[in-house]
Amino acid sequence: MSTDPAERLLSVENLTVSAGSDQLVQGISFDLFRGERVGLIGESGSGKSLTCLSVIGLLDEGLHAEGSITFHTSGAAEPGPETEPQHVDLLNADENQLSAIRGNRLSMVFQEPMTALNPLMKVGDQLAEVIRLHHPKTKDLRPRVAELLASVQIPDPQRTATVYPHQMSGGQRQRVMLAMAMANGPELLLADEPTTALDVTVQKRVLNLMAQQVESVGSSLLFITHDLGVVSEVCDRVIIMRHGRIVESGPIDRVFTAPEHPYTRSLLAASDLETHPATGRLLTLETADDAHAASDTPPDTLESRAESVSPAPASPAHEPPQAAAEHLTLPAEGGTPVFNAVHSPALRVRDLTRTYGKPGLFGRGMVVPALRGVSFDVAVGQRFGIVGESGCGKSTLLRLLTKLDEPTSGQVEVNGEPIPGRPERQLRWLREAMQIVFQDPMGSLDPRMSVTDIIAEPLHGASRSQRGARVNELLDQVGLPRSSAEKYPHEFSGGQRQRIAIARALVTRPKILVADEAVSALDVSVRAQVLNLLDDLVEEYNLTLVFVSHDLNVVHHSCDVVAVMSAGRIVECGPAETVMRTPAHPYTAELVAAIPRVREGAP
Amino acid sequence: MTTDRAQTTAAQSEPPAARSSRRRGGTPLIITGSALVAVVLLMAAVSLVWTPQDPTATDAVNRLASPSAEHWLGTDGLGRDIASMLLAGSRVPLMVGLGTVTVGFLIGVPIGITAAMTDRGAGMWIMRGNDILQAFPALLLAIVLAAVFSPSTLTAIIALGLGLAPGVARVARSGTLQVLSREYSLAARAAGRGPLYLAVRHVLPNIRGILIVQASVGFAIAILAEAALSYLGLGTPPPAASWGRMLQDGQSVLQIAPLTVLWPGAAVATAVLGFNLLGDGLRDRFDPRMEVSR
Repeated sequence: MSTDPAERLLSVENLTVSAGSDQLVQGISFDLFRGERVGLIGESGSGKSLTCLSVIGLLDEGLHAEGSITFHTSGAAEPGPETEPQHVDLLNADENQLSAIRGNRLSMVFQEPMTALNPLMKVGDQLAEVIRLHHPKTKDLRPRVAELLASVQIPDPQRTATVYPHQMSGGQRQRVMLAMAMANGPELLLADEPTTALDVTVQKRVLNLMAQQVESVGSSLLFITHDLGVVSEVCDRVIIMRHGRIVESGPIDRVFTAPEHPYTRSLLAASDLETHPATGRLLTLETADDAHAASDTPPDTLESRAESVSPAPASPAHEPPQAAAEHLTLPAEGGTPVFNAVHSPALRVRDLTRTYGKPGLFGRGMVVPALRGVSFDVAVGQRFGIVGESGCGKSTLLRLLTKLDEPTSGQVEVNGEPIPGRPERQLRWLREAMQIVFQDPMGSLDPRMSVTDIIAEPLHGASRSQRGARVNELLDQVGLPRSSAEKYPHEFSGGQRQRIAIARALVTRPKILVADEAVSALDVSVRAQVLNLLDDLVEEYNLTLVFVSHDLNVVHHSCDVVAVMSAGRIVECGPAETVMRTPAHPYTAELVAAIPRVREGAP
Repeated sequence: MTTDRAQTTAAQSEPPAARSSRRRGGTPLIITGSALVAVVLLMAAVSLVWTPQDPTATDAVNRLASPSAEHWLGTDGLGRDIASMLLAGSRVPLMVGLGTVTVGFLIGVPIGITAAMTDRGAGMWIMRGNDILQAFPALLLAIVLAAVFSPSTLTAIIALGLGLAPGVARVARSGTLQVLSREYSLAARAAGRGPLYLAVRHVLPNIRGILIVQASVGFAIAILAEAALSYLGLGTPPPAASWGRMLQDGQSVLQIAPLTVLWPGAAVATAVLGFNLLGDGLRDRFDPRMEVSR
């Protein structure tokens, strides 16, 4: 196999993917060279995944691809010295030709490790199947399977080969997927958002592994993602797509440090959660250019130029209402301290514990502690962030705070009133004082209800006209046209839906707003807009904010105080800036280190 | 000012409203099923105002007559006009179907939703009771009721409705559990909304699809069961025309006049097939597990 760096491996020419009369990918062309690692970046709807699926020939029926995709493979299924280089047109190849290439010369890692493996087949057998398909003569595959599992750093590969996918963690499954993809030493590895479903610390390890595997096998990589930080960990060249077109491409160092296209610039700004130099607001697609163009102009002229930026609070970042919170970590021994202790807090949590399951009738049951003695306060008007990875107990905590669930033991007080154990009819005041914004803008709005009904849901006993007036007022505040009131959720984009969810949460003029991963499901550019909106509304309504997220960066931007959770406990809590800059607990340090950086020195 | 700022930010850059990409499946099934059902409905509607002959009038001279201009499909063993009986007989199955589905849903849906919304212990006991009900054959229940209260269309409806209810309850429960696990249900609870509001505003509209499918299938089962009951002499009593009893009457003359059985048999088959196809088609369209979404 030649390793000439300038040898082309994949050429995409004038690729168009259409669904009916809609062109979803509009005539893009690019080349991928042997040994190169290219990141294909775009937000949802940019056509990046369709491009990837066209390459491997797995487009949905109903979608039609035109143009040409040529794969310059060095040989067919059987590796041998005499194999002639072939040029396969992947778009017009028949199923037989594709089958010989797929999983062999060209392989793919999918996004969702939960569903990409067959749940009824042992992991080792699935791996063996991939090898046997293309090398049917191989006799005993067990050593090779173990070797592959070992190469993706799975502990005890012999034993792991005999377990089923559900017995593994998400990160392990994704490693198995990687091992399967690399099993036959492909010339090109396609990876479609391979780490998006993983926790950051796991993501970091899987990314490193992927880079290392690709390098050792000598494959090329086409890495599809929305996350600019992730790309910079593994790729040397990037292609940026928007609305089915390539807007910019080039070496990663050049594109990320000196982006040429305004969209790239704003995407970078939004990914970094860059703030406007004058107003302290997050840069969005529209404001990013203004900020960059005008970064030396005095702030007062800038104010008028950034028309979509309101005359925001004069202080660049929000000041904590009282003296900075104490920075505490969980001691290795002894009891758990009370984090962020203040006088007369809006929210007081003491020794909160929640276990799931019960011992069971015949002693077979399992007791799983989700929350193990958490104590903290949230001061009135404070923005309190809770960060942790999946399974750390943050969602459980949130359900207990909002009384959607009962704690096993411990106390929650809202404005001095204890909550657990009280019947719902005594909690009318709580339902007005405290509201939630959920993570999934698809799931949190009933598809069969109109926007008016959704937003006015928390209003009990209001008259029709009162409801209408309040809904209109809120639509204005969250930046949706009043005509939205009669529409249904499916007519809105993700970001717009999240605005509706925020409007619903604010309709009762609550004192405390709990946001559960409120921006995690959104594209980065939309994320910046929604965070700006939340910032404004927190000011306007004088809210106490409890912001739960897995993303330390977002919490760092939006909150005064951050609590880091791990395995059902708070391990560190303190002012956001301090925790981010000088993490004291080893877990926090790992979390901070794992955040993919777009550019060195970015926050 | 707030307004201006907010509106500009919302309008920017977000992709246009994501179109619902649910695949519209099951259309051929729905069309075929609807056509067959329409035939039966049309027969019932026509029979209300007109039949070729009086469906109950006997004619001893013209017994087992072959099809003719006067008797389109011939006559049966008592000289009654088969075409007229067929038309008039379509009303009973439709009535029984509608009645059965109504009774079954009025009982089954509240049970299912309640079982899903109460805590796990109570819900479990409700469903175990439901299982016992389901294990009891509906036809047997109908025979018992007919023996106790004399055979009538009403006893058939009640018995078949009771038989349908447990199945409906199960479907309603699983649908409700899905809805309750969605974040909009949590949001409604966090907004201080009670269980009744949740059931009416969130659960019912969202399980409507699977309930419609269930109704269509229940309709088919009821029509078949009614024919069986009438055949056994436990359904609609004479002289009202009924497909099931026509089958029974024809059985004794099957050797010499097979047409007397063929026609009512075809009618029952048409109605049952129609509702089943409609149900299958609707299932393909509504069932969230079969939805293809991207």
